[in-house]
Amino acid sequence: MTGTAFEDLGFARVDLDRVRRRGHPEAIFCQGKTPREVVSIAASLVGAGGVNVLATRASRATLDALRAAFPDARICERARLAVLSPATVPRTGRVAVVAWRPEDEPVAEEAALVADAMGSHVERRFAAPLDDPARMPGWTAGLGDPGAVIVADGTGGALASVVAGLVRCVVVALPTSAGGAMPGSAALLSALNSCSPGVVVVNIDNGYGAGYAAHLVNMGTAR
Amino acid sequence: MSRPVAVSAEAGDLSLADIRERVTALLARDAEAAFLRRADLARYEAAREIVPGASYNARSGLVTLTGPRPVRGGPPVAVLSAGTADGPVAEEAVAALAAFGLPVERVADVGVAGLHRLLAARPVLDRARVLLVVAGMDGALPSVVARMTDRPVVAVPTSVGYGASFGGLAALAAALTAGAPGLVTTGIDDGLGAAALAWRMLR
Repeated sequence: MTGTAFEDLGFARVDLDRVRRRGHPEAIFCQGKTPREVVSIAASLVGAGGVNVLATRASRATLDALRAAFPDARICERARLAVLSPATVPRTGRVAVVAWRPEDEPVAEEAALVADAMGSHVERRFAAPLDDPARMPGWTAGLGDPGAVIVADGTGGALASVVAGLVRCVVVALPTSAGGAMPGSAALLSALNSCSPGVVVVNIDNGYGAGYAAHLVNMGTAR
Repeated sequence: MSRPVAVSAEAGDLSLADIRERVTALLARDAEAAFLRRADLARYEAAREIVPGASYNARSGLVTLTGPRPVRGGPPVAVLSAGTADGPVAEEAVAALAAFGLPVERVADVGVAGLHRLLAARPVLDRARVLLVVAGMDGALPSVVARMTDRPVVAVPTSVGYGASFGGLAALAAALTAGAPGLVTTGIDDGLGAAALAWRMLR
C-alpha cells in the first residue's frame, strides 16, 4: 500500500515508502539511538528491500553492532557512517569533494560516501592549496567539470567562496565544527553570505545533507 | 600619556549647533588628528564654521578637522576593498590615512568571486607596508590577502550584505576565524580605526 507503508517498531515508525517518493531509503540518524534500536531499524529497511541504507553519526558501539548484524556492511569509522546492504547502482556524473585542512576530512568523507552510495561518481580532493591563493585557479581547474562541488571548511577562510568563483557548477558549502572559536558558526555564516553566486549551504557537520544535495544537483545536470 | 592619536565623533543626526559644539570639544583635546564621521554636506559646512580648513570625503562622510600632514615617503599602506559597496568604508580609511600623512595605495573591487583580479594586484601587495582589507558579506578577502603577504593585514568587516550577514557580524566572525596567522580585525565599518592602527604601527 504505497503512501502509507511503514513498519511500527514501537519506538520507531520506519518509513518504508521513502524509496518510492524520493528514490532512496530512509537514512538512520544514529545519534541518540541505542545500537539495538539502530540494528532493528536497519533490519526493517533492509528487509523491505532497501539497498545502500545509510546509518549516520554512529558511535563505535553502533558500528560494531551493525557490523555484526550485517556482515556485508561497508563501515567507515572516521566518517561514523555505515552503508548497509551495499549494492551497485547506476552511476552518473561526478561530485567533487574539496577540503583544505585534515580536521575537516571526517565530515568531508561522510559527504563523499553518501554521494557515492546514492550513485554519483565521487572525487575526493582534500588538499586544496588555500595557503597559496595563486595556486587555487589551476588547482580548481584540475577538478574538471563536475556536476557539483562540496566544500568542507570549518574556518572563516573563504574556501567555498574562492572555489565558487572558479567553477561552473553549484557549490555545496559544508561548514564543520573542527577547530577554533565559534566552532562552525563563522564558517556557516561566511558561506551563507558568499559573494560568489551558486553557493548553497548545509548545516554544520551535516555531511549527509551535503552529499545528498550534491548528488541531487549532479543528477539534475545529468538528466 | 602623550597626545591622543585620534579623536572622533559621529555626526549622525546631531543638530548643526551640536556639530559646532562637538567640533570645538574635539579640537580642545589636542589629538594628532580629529575627525567627524558620517557627516552629510550640511554638517560638514557647520564644522567648517569652526575649522575653515576642514576637509571632506563625500563618499564616506569623513570630515578631517586637523590640518593635512605632508605625505611621507616609503612603502604605502594598501587599502583593498572586495566590492564597490564596500567603497565608503575603504574611502574613510583612505581619507584618514591622508590625515596622518601616510602614503596610500588603493585597490578597489578585488573580491574573491574573481580571484584573478586580486592575483593581478600582487605588486601592490608586495610593496605595501601594511594592508587594510575591507570586505562585507562573507568577509573572504582579508583571509585570502593574508595568505599572499607576510606584512600585517588588518581586516575591516563591513555591514554590506543580505539579512543573515547580521549587519557585518558574518564578515567579522570570518575574520576572527580565518585560520590565517597574523590577520587581525577592526570592528564593523571602522575604516578610521584601521587607519589609526596603521598610524600607530608606522609613525
